[in-house]
Amino acid sequence: MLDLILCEFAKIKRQRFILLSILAACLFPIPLTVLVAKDSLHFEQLFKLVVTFGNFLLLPCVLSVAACVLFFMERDSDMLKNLMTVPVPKTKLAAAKLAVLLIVAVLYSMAGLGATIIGGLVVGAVEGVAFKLGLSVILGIMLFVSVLPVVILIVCFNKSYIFSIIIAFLYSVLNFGIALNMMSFAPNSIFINILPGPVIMRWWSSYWSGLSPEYFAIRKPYMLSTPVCAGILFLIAAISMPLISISYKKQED
Amino acid sequence: MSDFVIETNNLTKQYGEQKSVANLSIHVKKGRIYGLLGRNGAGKTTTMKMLLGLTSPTSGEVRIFGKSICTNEKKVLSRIGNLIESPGFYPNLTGTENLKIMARLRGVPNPNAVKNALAVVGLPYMDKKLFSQYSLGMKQRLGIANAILHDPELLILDEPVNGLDPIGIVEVRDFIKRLSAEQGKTILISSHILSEMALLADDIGIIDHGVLLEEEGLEELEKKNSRYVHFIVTDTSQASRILEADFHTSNFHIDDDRNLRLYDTEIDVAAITRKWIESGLNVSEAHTQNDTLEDYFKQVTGGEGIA
Repeated sequence: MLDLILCEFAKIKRQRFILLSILAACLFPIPLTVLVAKDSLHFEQLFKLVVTFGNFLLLPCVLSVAACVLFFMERDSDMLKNLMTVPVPKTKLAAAKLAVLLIVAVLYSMAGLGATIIGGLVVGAVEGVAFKLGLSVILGIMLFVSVLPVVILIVCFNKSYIFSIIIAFLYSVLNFGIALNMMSFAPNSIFINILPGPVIMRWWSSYWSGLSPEYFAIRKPYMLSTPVCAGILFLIAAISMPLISISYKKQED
Repeated sequence: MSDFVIETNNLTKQYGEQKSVANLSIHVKKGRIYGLLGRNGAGKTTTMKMLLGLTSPTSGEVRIFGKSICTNEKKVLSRIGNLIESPGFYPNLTGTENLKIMARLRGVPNPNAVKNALAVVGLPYMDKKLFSQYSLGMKQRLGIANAILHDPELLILDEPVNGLDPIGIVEVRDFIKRLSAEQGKTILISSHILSEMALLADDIGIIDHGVLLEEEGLEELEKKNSRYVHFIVTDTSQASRILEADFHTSNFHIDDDRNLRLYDTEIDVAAITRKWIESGLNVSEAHTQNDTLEDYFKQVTGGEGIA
């Protein structure tokens, strides 16, 4: 399996999109740093802004496009027949591609944090780096899970890049929009209990600091504990991964 | 234990109502070069895909190294090198990078395997040229390098000289011959080029519309080719009557009103010519000829030729 993952990384060499997306994660905090510095806000606010827009909005889009690149690679290059005669089982190949997506998600998240820390040094004191590093890694993993449903659609439809990217962007924007406006929904609404974006946002909001007691009371019903959030995401992953594997296996050579 | 490296039994592939391959039973002996000969669309590639498990047969059985491919895929495939249809590789990588991926996936222990395979087909090692910038001939060479990368016992090559220049064709042909002669590799090779098969194969299977029409050693096939005397006379009708009446043979073929082929080569040509001249016919030409493989292929496939 490790060989397969290493080969997947070797395959994306010169795939500019993935490098550009990591670069975007590093550059994204720059305009936010300017805004935060202008309003004399703290590093905590900068981190929150970077996570909200960089992770919740951009990362799912980046991962969806990366999924298109990874899952369409063999189809477009007619390479699958070579792999099948090694033989490389399609289920293992799909698992290796998902592992690469997971690593990209974590790297993106960490790159974003790195750039935020540099921005933080500009706006003032940088605090809780170890906690934020852990949080970034966990958010990377969680947001990887959040794109699995759209990966099912990408693999299942097996259409053009444009079609898949449109689906991916619609899904990502829908998740982000609902996550950002979660308080417009009832705490037991299906939208914010099933869609992974809002679920992760609800979990993350429970770690926000500096909330006034009144605002905390309003937000409290929307906060999710780690076991509940992990349970929902585990369920999404447990359903999505076999479906991705089956859909990929069913694709015609 | 079977003597055959590849053995198929009534292999059939059906797409809807259309049978792409029908009841195909081929037998490839160890250490031999088996040429699967047929026109484009005859079912050669589909057959090879079924041998490699890339497509499942509608019915019938494939046995490679005496084992069923369905139940022993991993064990069997690791001993086979293949090139099916056009070579497919990652366009954003160089030839070396592509082969390194394949070597890692195949678990090739020799660190020089990629370098050696590229050297054999005449491609540079660690070249910066991407696969997407390769010419058709270079792509084909890389496909062959990939097939031999893990030193397989059996090679299944689908039209391997496609897209190669004349020198490249000779090089690949010599290389395939050497693999068989020096290393005892078994090679199944398909082609629609009859002359290529005649130069390369030890055994030939002729496939047409998915059906195996003939399976024979090349030597036997050549022996089967008819020997005949070709006459050019002024009137083939009168000439044929004389052959039947005076020489008691009907083993001849009238091509047109001037050309006649006599397959009964035991009869004295001088006597026939003399008799025809005495009967008022002019004989302008008489010489012994052999049918070419091309003629034989036409005969077997019912009249249609091959490139």
